[in-house]
Amino acid sequence: MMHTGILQAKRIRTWPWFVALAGLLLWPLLPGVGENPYYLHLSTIVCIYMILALGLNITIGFAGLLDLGFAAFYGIGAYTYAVFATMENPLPFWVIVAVAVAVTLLIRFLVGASCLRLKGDYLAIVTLGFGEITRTVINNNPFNLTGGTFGLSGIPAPDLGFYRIDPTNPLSHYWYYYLAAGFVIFFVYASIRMKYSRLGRAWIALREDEVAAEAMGVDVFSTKLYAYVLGAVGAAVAGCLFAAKQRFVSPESFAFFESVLLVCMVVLGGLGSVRGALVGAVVLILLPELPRLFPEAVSLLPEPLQDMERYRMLLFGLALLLVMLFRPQGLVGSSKRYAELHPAMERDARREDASLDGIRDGKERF
Amino acid sequence: MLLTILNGLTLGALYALVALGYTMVYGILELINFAHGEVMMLGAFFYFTFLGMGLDPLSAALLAVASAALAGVVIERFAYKPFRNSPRLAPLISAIGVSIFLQNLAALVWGTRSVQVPLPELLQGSLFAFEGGQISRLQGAILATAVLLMVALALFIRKTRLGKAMRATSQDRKAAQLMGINTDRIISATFLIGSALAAVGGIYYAMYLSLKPTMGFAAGIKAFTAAVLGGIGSVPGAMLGGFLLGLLESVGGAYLSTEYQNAIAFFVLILVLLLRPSGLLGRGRQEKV
Repeated sequence: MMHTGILQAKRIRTWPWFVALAGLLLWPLLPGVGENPYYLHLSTIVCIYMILALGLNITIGFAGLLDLGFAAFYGIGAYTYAVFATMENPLPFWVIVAVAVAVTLLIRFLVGASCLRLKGDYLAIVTLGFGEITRTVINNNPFNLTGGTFGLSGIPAPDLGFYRIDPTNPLSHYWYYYLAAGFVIFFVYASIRMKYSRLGRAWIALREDEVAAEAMGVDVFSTKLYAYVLGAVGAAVAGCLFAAKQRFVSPESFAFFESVLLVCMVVLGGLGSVRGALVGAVVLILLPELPRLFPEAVSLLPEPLQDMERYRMLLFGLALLLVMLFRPQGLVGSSKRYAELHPAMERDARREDASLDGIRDGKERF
Repeated sequence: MLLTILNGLTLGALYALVALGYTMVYGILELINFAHGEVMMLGAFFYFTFLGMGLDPLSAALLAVASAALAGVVIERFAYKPFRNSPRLAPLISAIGVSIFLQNLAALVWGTRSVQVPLPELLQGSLFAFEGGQISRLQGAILATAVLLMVALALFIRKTRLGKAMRATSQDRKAAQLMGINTDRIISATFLIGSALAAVGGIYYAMYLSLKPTMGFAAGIKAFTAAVLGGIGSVPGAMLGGFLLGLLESVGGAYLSTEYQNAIAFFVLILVLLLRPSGLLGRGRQEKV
């Protein structure tokens, strides 16, 4: 197969990916899964978050640009879809998705082009600010487009061209799931291809050492801009899927909390790891659903721990700290990433301090 | 108009107190202490709790400031120090983790609803009335405390041995270390002082506006904006930035809906970072390689 060439060249085992692919496609057909609309609904939501996490992983994981306003672009995608789908003669699904991606990327480009010259910490806080501004604007119903705090409802079910999903039909759950799963496959494939492309290697070089990368001829600004803008493709597509499935959008779905949740997924799974983004999305979406999925098992826990929803954010905050401290490569990240993020260098630095020879300590000066 | 300016200055004094902590930490570690706003919130909740335990307002406030200062040092020790030499992303993520953790911990302990903090008797009523308005005693106390603390801090940094060591550490940590300065202790001291100032700001903020777990996040962003506006790393800059931002919000609030009023800080932040990243009083920093 042609497209496995790049994987083999990098000595990546391909069979786990094919097992995962088969699992993704066959999952709803397993006995007991397909009949339960709640399982299919949850699986579709997991797929949507996988797409978001894969997108954010490009920005944060590959290029090391901490983006705390990613949910805003998820929202822009969803609202663009909602606005175009509720018009009198709605366009077909694919056309609206293309429009939503274009709108999202345009805004993302404008933000990125103005902010990406800032250093990491500043970039984080500016993206946060931009996210909050976006939510404020959506809340204030500009040009009567967004419906303010009430959001937009009555979004028609998507018309896929060959088939219009009928939400009253129980089979519609399968349609939504396979639509989302199809996009997951596309984004996984695209992520892996990008990671080992010339651009992907430039991102990683930049993430590890900006000055060294620049000295090697990497154009810092445009390379960052690519990472920032391309990451938002996932946000736009996930927004469209979300709006098409929920058939209702409101500003709360895209608040700062959502951005934090997405950052958690990428960090927990493993910064820069494609399978990490997938695992992070599965874990963090299923965690608060556990009481509903396994009521018997959860009822065995001590009383105060049963209300997972209540402790969700607390645990996320703690998880971010603990992962960075003890397992910076995330749950399934590579050990190479561990070496990059682990402060083992500190020991070397201290040793050099002791010999009063700071010159070789490239991290600090020179 | 006079009233608007006065309200703006009071708000600005509160921002400035919190902004000092951001600017001092950034000056030394080049790290945005995302959890700083949470320290401010904790200070206010500590005060509220000590008051509820029957302490008089002054000792409650002193105890709260001390506890919050300690919390700041502990945060530094556990969430930032292990990442001294890691890539930037690592301490940034752990700082956000701490911020989210503390905010939700406070929500679990004290509830998510906003609570009213009783004013001590000394600060009730009006200090000075003029045509069309008045200065409340609380406003007077906020302004006086803020100015006093800022002058004290400026003198401390300029005149004392510890202040000198701080300036040296912020200029060049490695060289300061070679000169026999225990930089880890200086960093702890910076967090201690910054957190104490934030707690003072937090207690007044709770009295002046309201107290809830998310207040630290919102006020923290604004204080950070104030620090950037004045020039991050510069102590007088943080004061100037705080007062300016307070005025801007108060004057802008007269013309804008409350929701957009809250976005003013973000607009200011983005504009300053794009047009003059070194801020009003900051020196352009050479990127340390």
